[in-house]
Amino acid sequence: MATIELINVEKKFGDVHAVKPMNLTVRDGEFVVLLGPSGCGKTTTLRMISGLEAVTGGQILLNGRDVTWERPSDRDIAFVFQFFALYSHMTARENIAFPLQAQGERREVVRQRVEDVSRLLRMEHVLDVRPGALSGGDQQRVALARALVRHPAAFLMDEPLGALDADFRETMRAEIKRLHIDQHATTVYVTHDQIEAMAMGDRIVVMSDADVQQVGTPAEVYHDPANLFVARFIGSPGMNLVPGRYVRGVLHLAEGATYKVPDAWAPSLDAATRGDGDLILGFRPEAATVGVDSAIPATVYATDLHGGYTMLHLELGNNTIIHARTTREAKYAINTPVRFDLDPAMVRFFDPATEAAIIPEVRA
Amino acid sequence: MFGIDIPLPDFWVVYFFIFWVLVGSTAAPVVFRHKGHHPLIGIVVGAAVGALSGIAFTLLLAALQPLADLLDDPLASILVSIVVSAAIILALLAFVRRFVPESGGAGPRAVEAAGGPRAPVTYSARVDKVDPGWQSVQALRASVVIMLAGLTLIPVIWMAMTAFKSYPDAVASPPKVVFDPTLEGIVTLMTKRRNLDSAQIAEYEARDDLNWADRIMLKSGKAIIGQSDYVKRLRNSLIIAGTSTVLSVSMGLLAAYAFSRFRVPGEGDLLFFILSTRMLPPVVVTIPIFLMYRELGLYDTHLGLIALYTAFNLSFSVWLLKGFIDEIPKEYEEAALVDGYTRLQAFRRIVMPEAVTGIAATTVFCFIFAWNEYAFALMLTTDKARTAPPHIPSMIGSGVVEWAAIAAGSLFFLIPVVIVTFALRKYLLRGVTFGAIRQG
Ligand SMILES: Nc1ncnc2c1ncn2[C@@H]1O[C@H](COP(=O)(O)OP(=O)(O)OP(=O)(O)O)[C@@H](O)[C@H]1O
Ligand SMILES: [Mg+2]
Repeated sequence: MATIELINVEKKFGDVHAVKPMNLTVRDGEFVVLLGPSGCGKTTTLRMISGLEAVTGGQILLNGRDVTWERPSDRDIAFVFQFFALYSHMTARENIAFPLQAQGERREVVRQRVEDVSRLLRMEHVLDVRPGALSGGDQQRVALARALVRHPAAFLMDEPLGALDADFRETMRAEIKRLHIDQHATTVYVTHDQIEAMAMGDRIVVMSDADVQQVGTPAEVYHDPANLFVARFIGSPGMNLVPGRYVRGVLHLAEGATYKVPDAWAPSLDAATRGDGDLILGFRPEAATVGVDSAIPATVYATDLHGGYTMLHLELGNNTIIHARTTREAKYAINTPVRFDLDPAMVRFFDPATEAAIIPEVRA
Repeated sequence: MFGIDIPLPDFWVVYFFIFWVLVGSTAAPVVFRHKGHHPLIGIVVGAAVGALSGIAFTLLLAALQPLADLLDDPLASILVSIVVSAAIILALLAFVRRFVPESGGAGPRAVEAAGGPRAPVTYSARVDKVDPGWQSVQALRASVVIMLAGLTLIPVIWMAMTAFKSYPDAVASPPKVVFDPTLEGIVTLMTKRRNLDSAQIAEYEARDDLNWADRIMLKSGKAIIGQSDYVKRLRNSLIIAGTSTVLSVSMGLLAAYAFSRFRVPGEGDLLFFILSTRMLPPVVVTIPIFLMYRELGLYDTHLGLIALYTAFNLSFSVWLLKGFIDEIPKEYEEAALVDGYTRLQAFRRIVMPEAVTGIAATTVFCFIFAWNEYAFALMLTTDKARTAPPHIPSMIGSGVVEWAAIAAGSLFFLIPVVIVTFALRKYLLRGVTFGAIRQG
């Protein structure tokens, strides 16, 4: 199918960067998710790849061919728009057939392909309906079918599931993923929903403020966030971030509590702080275990049951609230003092000045 | 017409008579259906009730004549008649509602509570809108609206009637509502004639190569000697209005698209400039245009009027269409561009069908303007390119005024506009629908 390469691609509207210089290589058959909060430049990036938006700088390569200044219609790319952009004056069938007609396919071929793709998406029964009368999910299917019918080199999808309700979103998510596996088509998929990104992406590109924050597999961005933004943005709730002062192997938290950093981390933290300095400790809720003789004291602020587990909100003093996961049987009254420990393999540290993660010299 | 001496023309008596019958026959069936009877009974009873009120109205008018004389104000008697007959029909309807017995055979009520409707309410409706009382009031309102709308149509209806009147009927006073329809007016409109003396009439009557039109004219002692100018004028109107409409809509569409989609330098100024051609009444420039046209050889040519009307309509069509095209999301075309279409193809296959409402509306307005335009057509044409609007009044001319012919001329003049508007009504009414652009 296709590889997509962005080399220092940037876009400015006036003097404002919508996308700062960006480098990205999407491998053949890969499913890459652009993830970021609203307005961070995801749509703009997709539009540049498709040629609907001229770049202000950089190069776009498709299969190694420089297409930076080629027309959209010459790039062999299918675009599923954020707002589906189905033509209201055509039936679903005509909408789907529309891209094929551009290629001057014979009528029987068009009909056959439209039928194939609608069978694949299980939407034969809505083919003769106009988009105005379709449900959100079916509109979604028509938009997908319109992209799929052409067998393009690459798919660009801009928040295609944003309009659907939670339940249906999950179904469609699985459907798109399934389609991707079957067709093995290079896909760049935009979303602002990090759960969707984790579930679907082979790799995730986390964006914020027009800039790429981190590129990595879902596990990488989850467990090893490159900076505080990614740590907060990924996961729900995001990573617990507790500021403290690091003095020779021990992190002094608020109100006299201390945390002895794992031995494996000590050398790199010593190097980063030169033995004595401020740090931010980061850990996921599932890294904390509440126990009787554990190290760090806290008080229960609130608890909520999430079905399979209980989320504890613990107050560390200084109004710092952290989240910890416990079993669903666990019951804690509000304001009870508790103590908790951290899994040494799952703690991370950040430099408060640069906001970047501190890279361990030897990973524990 | 009823042989009653009344201060209103017959026409108005007929009008109010129809009005009350309409009110009765729309309001009463609601009550009857509610009580489990066949609504047809309601229509018959309602029409009878309405007719009673109509008769009451007529009698009142006649009876009030002395009063009107006394007050020296005919309007008072008319108003009193209307109010009293309205009170009569309302009382009758109330009586019907109160005393029509419930039908026994219709089975139990669908909804058992008192005052519930007969049939289950299987459509979306608020409770108070299902109430039969409210529904009959609604029927009453609808009748009033229909009759008011009818009132505005009366000049047109009157014109249509006059077109089919003979000369004596057309000039009869008081005007006649009931008359023998004849095609005399239409034949007069379409032909040139010459008067015959009695010997010639006898000679003509003996001939057997006369068609129906000749015979009609012969009745009033005339012979047809050729086609009148009217047909030519109407054809000119069609050519000029049609061509200029097509031109101004298609050029306006392209300009509006460019303004809407591309970065046009000085866009705001240009749009203002385009609109500024509308800022003074066109008639102001008739003299300069007349002089210009004479110099350019455009005087009394089709091209001249087409160019002029197109120029005037263009500002209007650009502005109107720009609004409609702005409403079409640019993603619609972008989707087509990505799928391998050129911009022109995307324009033809996506933008035009999506803007069809706007195109239809613009077409109707442009056509009506060009079709009805009078002042320029009068100033800039004499014969070859003269259109119908300046021609129809000129038929009044001297001597006998052929009212029937003039009415027929106006009637035919109306038809193309009605056809165009009617043909496009589906698009005019459809409103702007947006397909699957999702909301936020
Ligand atoms: N045509 C434009 N002209 C000027 N600024 C623009 C234009 N299009 C986008 N921008 C700006 O560029 C920035 C990035 O926009 P973009 O649409 O790429 O965001 P996004 O990540 O897709 O957001 P969302 O999740 O809301 O869709 C925004 O600040 C936006 O205001
Ligand atoms: Mg977007």
